[in-house]
Amino acid sequence: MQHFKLAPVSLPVESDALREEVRAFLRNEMRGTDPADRCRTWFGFDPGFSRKLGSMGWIGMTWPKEYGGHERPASDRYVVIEEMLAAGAPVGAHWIADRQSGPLILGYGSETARQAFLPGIARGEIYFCIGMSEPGAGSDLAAIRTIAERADGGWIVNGSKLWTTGVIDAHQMIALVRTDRSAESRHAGMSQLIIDLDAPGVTRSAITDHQGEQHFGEVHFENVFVPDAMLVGTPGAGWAQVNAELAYERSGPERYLSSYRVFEEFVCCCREKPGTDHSTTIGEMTARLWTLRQMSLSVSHGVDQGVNPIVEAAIVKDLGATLEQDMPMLVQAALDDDGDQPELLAVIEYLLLFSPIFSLRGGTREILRNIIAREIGLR
Amino acid sequence: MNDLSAILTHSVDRFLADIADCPLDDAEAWQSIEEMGLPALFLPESDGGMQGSWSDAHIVLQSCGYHAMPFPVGETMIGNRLLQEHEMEPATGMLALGIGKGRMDGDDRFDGHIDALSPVLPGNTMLAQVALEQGEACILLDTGCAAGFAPSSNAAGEPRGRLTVSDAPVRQLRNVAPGTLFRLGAFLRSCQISGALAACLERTTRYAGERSQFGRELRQFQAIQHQIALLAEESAAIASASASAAQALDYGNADFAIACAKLRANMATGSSALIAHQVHGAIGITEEYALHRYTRRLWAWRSEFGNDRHWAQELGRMVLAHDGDTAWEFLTKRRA
Repeated sequence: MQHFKLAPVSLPVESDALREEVRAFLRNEMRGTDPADRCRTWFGFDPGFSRKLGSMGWIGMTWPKEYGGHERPASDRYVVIEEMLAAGAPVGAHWIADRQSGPLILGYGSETARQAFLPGIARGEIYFCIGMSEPGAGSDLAAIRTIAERADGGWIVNGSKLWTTGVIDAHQMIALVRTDRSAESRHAGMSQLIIDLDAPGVTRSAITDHQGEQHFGEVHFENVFVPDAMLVGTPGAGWAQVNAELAYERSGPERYLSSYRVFEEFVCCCREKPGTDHSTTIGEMTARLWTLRQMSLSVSHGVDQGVNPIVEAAIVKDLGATLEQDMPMLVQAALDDDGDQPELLAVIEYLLLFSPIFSLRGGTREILRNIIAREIGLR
Repeated sequence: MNDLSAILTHSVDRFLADIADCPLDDAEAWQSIEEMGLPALFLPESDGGMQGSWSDAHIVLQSCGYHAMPFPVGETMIGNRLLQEHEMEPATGMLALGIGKGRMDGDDRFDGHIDALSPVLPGNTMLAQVALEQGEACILLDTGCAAGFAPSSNAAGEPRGRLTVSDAPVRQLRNVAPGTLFRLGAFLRSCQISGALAACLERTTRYAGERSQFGRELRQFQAIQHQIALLAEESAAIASASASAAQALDYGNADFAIACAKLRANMATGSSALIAHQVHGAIGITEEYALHRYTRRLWAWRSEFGNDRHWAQELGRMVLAHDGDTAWEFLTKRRA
């Protein structure tokens, strides 16, 4: 029997107090926030909010205190981020740094980089983005061409990155670049560099999406100097590091909660406006949400324990994206068409237009299914 | 994983594989199940049991689904637990579970009908949840006392049937919360569905590596890979959901988790069975090929102990009835 690494995980009883604390904070901070604005969640940029979270000790929660962290258990971080996402809090500014760049720097970065960035990330002041996709390299990430060449005391970077989430507002990028053009395998000769987005030679521009949002953008590097200390890990190990990083990227509750607000708003409307029975639709979404939460908890726990649950993380992300895309459609299909619920309609519209990205970012649906097929022995 | 679950994981799977092809009336096979201690899994060691938890039971029940076990192992195990909780003797032999309707005369005679949701053999006892004019009762009866039995079978060919009971003696289990037996049955089917999905995934993956068309093994076609990946996703989801429901039962607060797990399992059955058959081609629906042992059960179990509509409405009502700030509070208020 195929045994997936999905043993049930329970959050410790001690995390209940933290959850209540986070909820009280959010009730206060989010009071009066427009329902449609809550749908941005980890794409919502609000530096003031990020700094407040930093001062609460809710960024870099698991990191060592010497780097500005709080040495809390990973389960505490899970509680904080799922509460943020469920409430639709604007966590986008620090999201990638907290989830991914910080842990990567902690694991592979130089001491200089750790001291330069980690305390600022944990305070909610330094924001990162991830430079992976390029004009000619999307799902086929190994086709990247951005190059870093050896220079005195560092590297000179030339090339460009595209579809980078948060690139306009971020301070730093961890970019996957080629450092060895002569490498025989296309997965070899790549490295990760921390690039200061305000450095000379960097130009950034936003890309406006079809509902007027500027979540992502493009960036060009022309002879950008990157000091040696900003190399993350060892030269040539970029591909392996990126793949390890994807476990963080694919395991969190943001992989099934992107459309959560439409569920909450729908339930709220049904309570306030009895008469039509939507319990079936609500029940179906509930069962899928609950199951994905159980799976996400297991996978996140596995990642924290040093297991690399590759296939399980890919499964959570694919099932999660499908639910995220289905939810606004299910509510749209069930809704009374009487114009009585303009706020719910705005939420549905926002999420419908947002939803194609759910199965693109962080690995497309097709890439994920390729991974699943490979891991169960089909390739 | 504790010692017992480690032992169960290793031993039960092999044991059930050996008896999976035995017919239901093979007394020797059932005796070996009893010797293995499975019907007594929950009972205290002093009563010859293993003092197992619901999470231990999950391992056995999933394995029963994986092997398309014809014997009512789970039904008997769960029934015995309810009996033991009410200080009644465990059943001798197989125990059937049923859902019925009728009226009680006093507290020890029942008149009405009961639909058996597991096989009934002569001499079996049955534990049934019966709806009464006012409320419901959980009763134990000797199926031999029924006035009539109209046998039938479910979509998988598993024996079912309706008992007509006229004023027969029964024993009532007091203080069973309403819907308990139905919910535990739903948990049982969720675990079995999880096992049957795992069997479909394994067989389909294997077949895709054996069969070639256009000069290539099926597994090399991306269209096939992605279909089987979807089957794997559903299998993983139900493994997680059913194990989580077992954990919730161990925590003593499982109504919500079981409703979610059974509904999610029901939702996985149809599309997964079709993927397994699509990859197998025509051979998959032949009698001689074993795939239908699992897919027919997926279709049958979908409607036993609550179909999609039943659990979706129940869940929807639970969410809507929550008297708090947000639905999220309700989704997260339990340990599991």
